[in-house]
Amino acid sequence: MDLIQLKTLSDLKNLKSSQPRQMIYFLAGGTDLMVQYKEDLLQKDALLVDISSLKELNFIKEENNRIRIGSLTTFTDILKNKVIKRHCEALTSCAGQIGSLQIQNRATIGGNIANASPAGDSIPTLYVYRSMVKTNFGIYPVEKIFKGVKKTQLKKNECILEIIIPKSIEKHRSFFFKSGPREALAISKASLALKLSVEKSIIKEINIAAGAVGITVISCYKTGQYLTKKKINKEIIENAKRLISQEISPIDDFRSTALFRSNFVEESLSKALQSVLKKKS
Amino acid sequence: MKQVINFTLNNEKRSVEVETGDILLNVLRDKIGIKSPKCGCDRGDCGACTILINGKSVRSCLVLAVEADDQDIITLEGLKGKEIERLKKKFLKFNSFQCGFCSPGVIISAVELLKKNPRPDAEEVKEALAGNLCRCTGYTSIIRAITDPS
Repeated sequence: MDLIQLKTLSDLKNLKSSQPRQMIYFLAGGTDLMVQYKEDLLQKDALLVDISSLKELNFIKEENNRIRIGSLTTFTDILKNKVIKRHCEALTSCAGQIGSLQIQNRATIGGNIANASPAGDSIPTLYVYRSMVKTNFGIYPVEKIFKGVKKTQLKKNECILEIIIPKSIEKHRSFFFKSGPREALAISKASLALKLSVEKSIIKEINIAAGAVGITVISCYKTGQYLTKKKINKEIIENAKRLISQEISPIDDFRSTALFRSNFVEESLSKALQSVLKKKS
Repeated sequence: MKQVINFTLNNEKRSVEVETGDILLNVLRDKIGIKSPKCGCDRGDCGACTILINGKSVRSCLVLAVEADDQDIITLEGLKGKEIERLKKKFLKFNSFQCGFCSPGVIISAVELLKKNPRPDAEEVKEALAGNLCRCTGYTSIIRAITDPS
């Protein structure tokens, strides 16, 4: 395997022409990629492009109507950041639940996207904030990035540069639930993220996304549509649970069962809706 | 392809020739002779290879040696001062380690925690050490040592 280390962002442009046929892997924190490297899961003649020292891609910036997160920002940095905590509480909560401290210190948000695992913890939260992903080729809604398990739409030389989260004008709350075999260090068996604004128990707007229950993270539009403009009560919650279980497609595998995953997603949705209700009344 | 990397290891400047595909853990152990970081699972699960890079705990089995260029690395061998002496006594007092394989990683994680939070409670210690697996004593005696107030 060949390796090159980029020292500045402009080196990325030169990458285009120099290596026409080789498969390219961008190395950021390496917490996923290095495991694949060691297990010989990467293509043999591929080019490893180490971008980990590009300081230009490590930032969190608050602007008028959006928050920009550089792709090399680690989850430790995200966890500690006050702007993220104020505007994206689900992302903060998710950053603290990713792997162990040693993983959070190293793993990056761009890497979590590029790795494209349906269990990638930050992805459902980025879905519900309707985040955009900026690369050296363009800007896309985060949902458009994923094609399947560990597969993205990104082109060969395409490198994730930043994640753009639009700021909500509405007062809102957001949640992230994850079920792992134990509290820390675990890969999700299933996860659920929600962002919603509620006024007098009536849902004004709601975005829902579920992880590890399909080949990519899934946006639960139908359930969201159903809940919009509804007054939260027992019956509505029960109906929403039924709807969301139809929207996801969990499977049995070595980490969990389809039934467990489905139950977890339903109960997490119910928990979030009830907690909003409690806060308002 | 060979490459020379320059970095600070336990407060000393070092310069080593490595292959681009070399793993930092192996370079530390086999090329430099720093033996405290251990290879347990070799895939970032067990924490036995934990070291500090620029003050942050990371798993050296998941880091390429070339990524260490220009960085500041501390292993158990480089920990000095009152805090580490105090910790050492606590671990002895509570008989926290048996085989010792996980100890270097556990101590590095404990040092990182105590720097941020000098008086952690048991829950905080558990969370900070979640990435360090111990297969013999169980964790109680380790947690006791780190939270012991005396």
